[in-house]
Amino acid sequence: MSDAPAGRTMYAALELLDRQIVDADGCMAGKVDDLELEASQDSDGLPVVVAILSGPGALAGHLGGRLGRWLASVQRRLREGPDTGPARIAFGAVKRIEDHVEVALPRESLESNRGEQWARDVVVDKIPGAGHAPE
Amino acid sequence: MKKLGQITLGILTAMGGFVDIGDLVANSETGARYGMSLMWAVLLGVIGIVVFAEMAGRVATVSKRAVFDVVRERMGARMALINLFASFFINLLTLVAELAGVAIAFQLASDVNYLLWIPLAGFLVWFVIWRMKFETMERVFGLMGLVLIVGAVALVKLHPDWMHLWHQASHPSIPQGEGTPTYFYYAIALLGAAMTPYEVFFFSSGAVEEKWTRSDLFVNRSNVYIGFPLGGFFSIMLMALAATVFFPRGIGVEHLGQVALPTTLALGKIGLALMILGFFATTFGAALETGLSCGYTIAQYFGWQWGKLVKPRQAARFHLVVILSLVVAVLIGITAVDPVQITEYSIVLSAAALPLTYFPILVVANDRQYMGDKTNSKLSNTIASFFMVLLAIVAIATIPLMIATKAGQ
Amino acid sequence: MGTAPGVARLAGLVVACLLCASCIKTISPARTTHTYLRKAAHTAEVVVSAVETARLVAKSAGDGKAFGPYTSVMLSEQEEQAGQAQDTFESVQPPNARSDKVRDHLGTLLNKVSDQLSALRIAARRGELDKLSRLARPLRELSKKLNKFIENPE
Repeated sequence: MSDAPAGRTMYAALELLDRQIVDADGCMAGKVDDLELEASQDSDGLPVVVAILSGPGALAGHLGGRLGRWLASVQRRLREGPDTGPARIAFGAVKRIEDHVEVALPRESLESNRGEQWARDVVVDKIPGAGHAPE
Repeated sequence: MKKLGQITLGILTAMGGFVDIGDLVANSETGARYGMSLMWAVLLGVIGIVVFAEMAGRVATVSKRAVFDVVRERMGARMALINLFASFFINLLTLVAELAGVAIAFQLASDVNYLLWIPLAGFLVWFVIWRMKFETMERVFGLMGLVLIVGAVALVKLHPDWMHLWHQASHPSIPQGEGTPTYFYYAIALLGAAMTPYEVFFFSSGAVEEKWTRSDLFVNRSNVYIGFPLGGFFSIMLMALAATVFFPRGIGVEHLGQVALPTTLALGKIGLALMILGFFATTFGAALETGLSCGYTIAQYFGWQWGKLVKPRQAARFHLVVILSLVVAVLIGITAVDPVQITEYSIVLSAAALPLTYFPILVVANDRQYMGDKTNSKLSNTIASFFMVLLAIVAIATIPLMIATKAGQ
Repeated sequence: MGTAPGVARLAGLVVACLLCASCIKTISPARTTHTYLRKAAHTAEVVVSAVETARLVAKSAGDGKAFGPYTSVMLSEQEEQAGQAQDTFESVQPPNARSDKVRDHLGTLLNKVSDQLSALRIAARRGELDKLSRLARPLRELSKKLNKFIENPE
């Protein structure tokens, strides 16, 4: 499997899946739960990774089976708006791949961060001291 | 000189923080029931936790990854999720037991029913997690736990028959009228009490958060190699106190308060007060670690921002999980589940689930890709492999034994 | 974000399991004399433990070695433990006439124990720690009788 920008061939299952995603500010932003692939135009015929999918919806798809279906139903129940499918990060946003995947976007812009924002707005910010790191 | 001070402080903190409600209960119970005949199980448990804590610390330092992060990568999302369910559930049980321990410590000092103290205990644990710095938290409660040393003074003052105690320990035998399955059930309990999984989650997450470097490895090793065995000494001390005072009288340990009785007999009010303080320090410290571990495991699996070093609002889901875990633990606690029983369940189930936590660590600790040149030595691997076999046997034997002995009755 | 319902469900499962687990300690019936005698002996063991603990606590308090709250908590606990053991035992149907005698014998002992432990608890709660040594004295004899019973439950 190859990825378009760097044109590197890698074993996506080993080197991409389940890796930590780190955003442009160095914050943790979820895991690579699944990958979106497209048929390749190249002669080698290997599929191309087009996007990283992250979030419970993506993970549910990746897990499959009863576990995946359970997770998907949990995520559906929590989703506020219409079900727009799993959170998607276009592969063009990937800056670097080491033991984690660095993405050139801030966490806030990622679809998969909605849960974090919800937790922050609805619960955590309401508790005094949420803005201070412990002294 | 400053470095020596730091090392000493680290060792003392590890020593004082070693004991938790599982150790308090299990060592006293077995000492009362079997004398010193199960001391070997404690020694085995101490060796086990030393080997694996060192490994987890090294993995965290060199690969900069915490346990559950690595578990998912190495085991795949599916196996790791099942692992997460089991680990989280056991963590939660342990948290309930620790909160009950804190509440009972308050009760022993105030004669107000412990059920009323549980919500306060839960709130205090949350508050300390919310506000106190990681290192301060560890230091304060770790060092406070050192007051348990009063038990050793008490033991000497009780003038036990040392030769007899030593004979019991070195020639383990099952007393008349006791069944063999129950003996091994308690051996498993002692193993689980010493080798608690949450310790490993907490330890490695702390190492990643504090960005330990290779130069910190030495400090880590001294804490683990010296601090933990010294902490194990407290466990043996508790067993000996029970063996001396309870075993001859046919007293069985059903309540945490009994654990303080031998020290009270020997040293009076000061001994009692320090013991109760020790109960508070060790169970509160363990509740902090367990509560945080509830958050670490889930956040690290899903890749959320976690940790105490960032502002809470930047790790919102992590803190939400910790809060929810504490709420659920408090709710379970106030249903008046028997604290000693739930402690027993938590340590026995911990023992059975140890392979889930330790096996991935062992695998990663040998992986050059993560560890570079700091992979396991032959000695570590030999000891660790022995433990994996042992823990696998324990895992298979635990549930049948639990049913056969009606949970140790 | 999937944790809230997940944790809630987990919590429900945990509570359910624990309620089931607390039921594991239910009383199984005794169909033979042998089983009944074993249960009687086990009950006596549990009560001996409570009695001996109470004796130690009472002595400590009397000698000024233990605080009031600790003494009260411990004595209440022992009273409750002995009481529970007694209730559990007395709810078991004696299978035959021989077991009836055992029931009476043990029952008499347990009633005396219960009276003494209550007296201790009441005195402790009132802060009358100096009375505890005297109140605990009958427990010595009761403990001996219980131990004899355990060796030969009849």
